[in-house]
Amino acid sequence: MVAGYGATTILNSTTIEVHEAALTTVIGPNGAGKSTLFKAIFGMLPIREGKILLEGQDITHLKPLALLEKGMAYVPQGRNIFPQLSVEHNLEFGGISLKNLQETRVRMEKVYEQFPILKARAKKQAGTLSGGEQKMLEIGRAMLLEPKLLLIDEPSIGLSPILVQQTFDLLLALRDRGVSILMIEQNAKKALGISDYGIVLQQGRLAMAGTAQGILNHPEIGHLFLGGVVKV
Amino acid sequence: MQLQFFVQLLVSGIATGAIYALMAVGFALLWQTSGTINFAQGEFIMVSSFIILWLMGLLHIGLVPAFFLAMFISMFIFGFLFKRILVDPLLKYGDVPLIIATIGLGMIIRELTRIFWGANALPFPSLVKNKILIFGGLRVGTADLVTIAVAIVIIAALQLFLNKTFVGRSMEATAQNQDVARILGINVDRMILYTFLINAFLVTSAALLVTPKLLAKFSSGETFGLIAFMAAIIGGFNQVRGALIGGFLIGIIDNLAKFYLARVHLPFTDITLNLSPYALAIPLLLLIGVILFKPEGIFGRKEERSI
Amino acid sequence: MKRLLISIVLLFSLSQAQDSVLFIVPAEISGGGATVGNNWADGVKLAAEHINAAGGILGAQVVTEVLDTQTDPPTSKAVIAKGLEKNPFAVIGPVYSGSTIVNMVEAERAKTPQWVGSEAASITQQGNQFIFRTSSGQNGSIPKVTKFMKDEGINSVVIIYVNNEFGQGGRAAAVENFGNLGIDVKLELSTEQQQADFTPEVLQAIMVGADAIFAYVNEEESARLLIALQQQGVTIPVFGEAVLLSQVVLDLAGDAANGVAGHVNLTAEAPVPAVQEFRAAFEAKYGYTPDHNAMKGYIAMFVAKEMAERVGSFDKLAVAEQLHCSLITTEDEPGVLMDIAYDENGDIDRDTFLISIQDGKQVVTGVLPRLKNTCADQ
Ligand SMILES: Nc1ncnc2c1ncn2[C@@H]1O[C@H](COP(=O)(O)OP(=O)(O)OP(=O)(O)O)[C@@H](O)[C@H]1O
Ligand SMILES: [Mg+2]
Repeated sequence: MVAGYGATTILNSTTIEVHEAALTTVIGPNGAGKSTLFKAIFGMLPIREGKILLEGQDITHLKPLALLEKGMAYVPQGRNIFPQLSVEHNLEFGGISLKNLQETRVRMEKVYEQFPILKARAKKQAGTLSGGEQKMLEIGRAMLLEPKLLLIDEPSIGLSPILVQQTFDLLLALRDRGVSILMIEQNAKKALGISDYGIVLQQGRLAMAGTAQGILNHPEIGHLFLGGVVKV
Repeated sequence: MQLQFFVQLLVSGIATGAIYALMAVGFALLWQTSGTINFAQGEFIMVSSFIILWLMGLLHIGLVPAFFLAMFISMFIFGFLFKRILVDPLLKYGDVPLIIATIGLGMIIRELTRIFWGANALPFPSLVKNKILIFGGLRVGTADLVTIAVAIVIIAALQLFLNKTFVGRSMEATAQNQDVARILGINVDRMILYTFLINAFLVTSAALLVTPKLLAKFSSGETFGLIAFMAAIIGGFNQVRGALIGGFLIGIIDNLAKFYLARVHLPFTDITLNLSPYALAIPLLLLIGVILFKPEGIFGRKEERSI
Repeated sequence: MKRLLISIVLLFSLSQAQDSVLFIVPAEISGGGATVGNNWADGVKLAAEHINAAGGILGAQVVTEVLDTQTDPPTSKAVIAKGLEKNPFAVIGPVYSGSTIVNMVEAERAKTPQWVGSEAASITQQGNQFIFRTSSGQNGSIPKVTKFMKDEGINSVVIIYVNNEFGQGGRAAAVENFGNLGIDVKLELSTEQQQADFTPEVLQAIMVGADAIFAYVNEEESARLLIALQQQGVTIPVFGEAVLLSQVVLDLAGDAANGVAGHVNLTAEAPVPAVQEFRAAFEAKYGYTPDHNAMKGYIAMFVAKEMAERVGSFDKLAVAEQLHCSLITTEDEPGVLMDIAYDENGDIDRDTFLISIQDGKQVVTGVLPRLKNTCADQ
């Protein structure tokens, strides 16, 4: 696809593939266009050229709501909660595409089972949660839909090592249940270590793709994270 | 004796402040959900009172039915059309063109009002005939009480709507973080439209309450707009509660300052100065203080947005 | 060909000029004083219509050009300076004293007589030989109100005045006269032009516990003050002058104005046939009841007409000179509505009225006859 902000082009003929029921990690230097890629996939940026297919279906120009209905969910980089609303009400927004408040409530209970801490804090303002709890809330909110494909952008940022581990475990558990996950991570080594597949993005283009192991072992990958360029 | 006057000032300050709060809340809502700084807010209020008067004369109806009709007209013009014709096309060019456009719109409304209804002030009926109630030594007019009651009912209903309904919460979510709201599938554009409609409702309500005392006059929008703006800045632009408290604060402070500055006794002398002409400086000082030391407003929160 | 056309146009405009006489009418058409200025301008226009219908002045048709001062002194000065470039016969207006104070030098410099609706005392105390009032200034009328208050048994008072030329002049005159009469001024409250809420002032006034309130603020502010007084349930009597008792204030304040009393120069309620005729004509044309400013504007035009006729030409200098120490009776010129005498400064002497507001209407409770103390009567 080709996409960008206004007149600037960030993604220039970027082509990627996400495997079903697998964890795929996108790595690349800062400013490579990783987050932009997610925004473009999730209908937040106009796509000027190219196509996005989900299970063979064209979803190129769909809006977020339609994508949610098709079983995609997106957890962006940074804080994505509504700090002044309660935890409960934040979570509730995960079910908008269900268009069924009853069903949403049932699923919220399931999320609470997964994250008891959210249940304990249900009536509190989300802004009062710790950084880790907020990330749990975001992930829980995305899981509420029981999506087929989860896009998650740098989930580990700002989390303690223990929480990072917990988050990754959670994602692996999701994958084992058949969810396809596309994740962006700064901590490339650790992320690729648990991933099935890897994608390297560089200046808005696909630089490399393959199994996570294959990318980890590639001789030029270390070079890439020292600020160099990968020749493919 | 002194306490009695203080309480009386407080009551009338709250009555005025309640109206200011209505003006400021809508102003802040527009800003939060759509980034619109509406400098025509005061003119919306001003012209709403003329619309009410016009409907009363045209259809020979009472104040209350005229108010409800005016509310729909105002929602259509200052809610729907304002958003579609002015805000939507301009917003993508950033804040400044829209600010300038709303200033221009305010001027146009002011001039049109002058052309259609004249430059003279017009009397405006009040909801109730004023009666003085006496509680102990305290005298309170029913006009003030009704103003406070109506404003509080409206504000409470708005708060309930925003907090207790899913649509209301979706509007709050849109206000707090539009991108995330969109990612979650909230119909952001519709939520923004709702805030414009709510603002139109609030300005018409403010007009209903403020005009009996201050008269309908084409030029009074300037003051209203300034107050809405000041209240929103003082209380906190990014929170409904902030703008609300800002409105009350200005109403009360203004009243108290004027009263207590009228006779300032210089200590150790028998000189008494009348400083009430400078009473306006106090809300202004507060405003400057807020801008300098707490730019997010006394009750606002710091902006933190990412994505 | 071109020349010919130009000469025709010139000739045409010249002949027009001879057949008409221009009055420029600076007035508060917009801004805070709009109510006042529009009354004034409507009065002037009605006078022009009446004069023209009766054949004009010295055979010339009256042309009026209304200039909007926007109730802003610098703007008033600018529009008058610009208007004077057309060499009008007279300047009729404005009303607001603050404007007149700064713009009267323009007419004086152009040696053009100027009739104003302003009442600030200082206007006629500067030796300007071209400035003329249309109602008595504060120095003439305030002693009458204060005397009336004394007669009503008032011994202490709170003064609420507007902080502009008009209000300060009124305050000064009131303080002096209350002092002379032994009325205790318990409190003076300064308020702003275009002030919205008068509740703090009202509560101040109740707190000091005076016998009466003397209110000296502009029209819309008067109405807001009366509404605030009513809302706070104030029952002590309120006294005032022409502005407080004007029709505009009554219309705006509704029943909040009931009980207010005082003294006015002019009123549409005056039990004078000429005034009643004027009122009927005005109401027929404009659909509202004229206030004292409409009457002042109307009278100004007829004073100008009478003087041009006495001089026999549109000699502005001669008109200004002649008007000082002149008496114009309604027999000389019915359009002045009531006999009017000018002193050497441009101040006037005329019958005035005591008024109280009952059921939303001005009720004339007494007529104070002309003092006949000016040079016109010597
Ligand atoms: N909203 C925006 N408007 C304009 N340009 C943007 C915007 N967001 C990002 N960019 C630009 O697009 C490019 C790619 O940014 P992007 O956020 O996709 O990088 P990234 O790979 O996610 O980096 P990081 O690892 O720092 O998150 C950068 O040059 C950035 O400056
Ligand atoms: Mg990124």
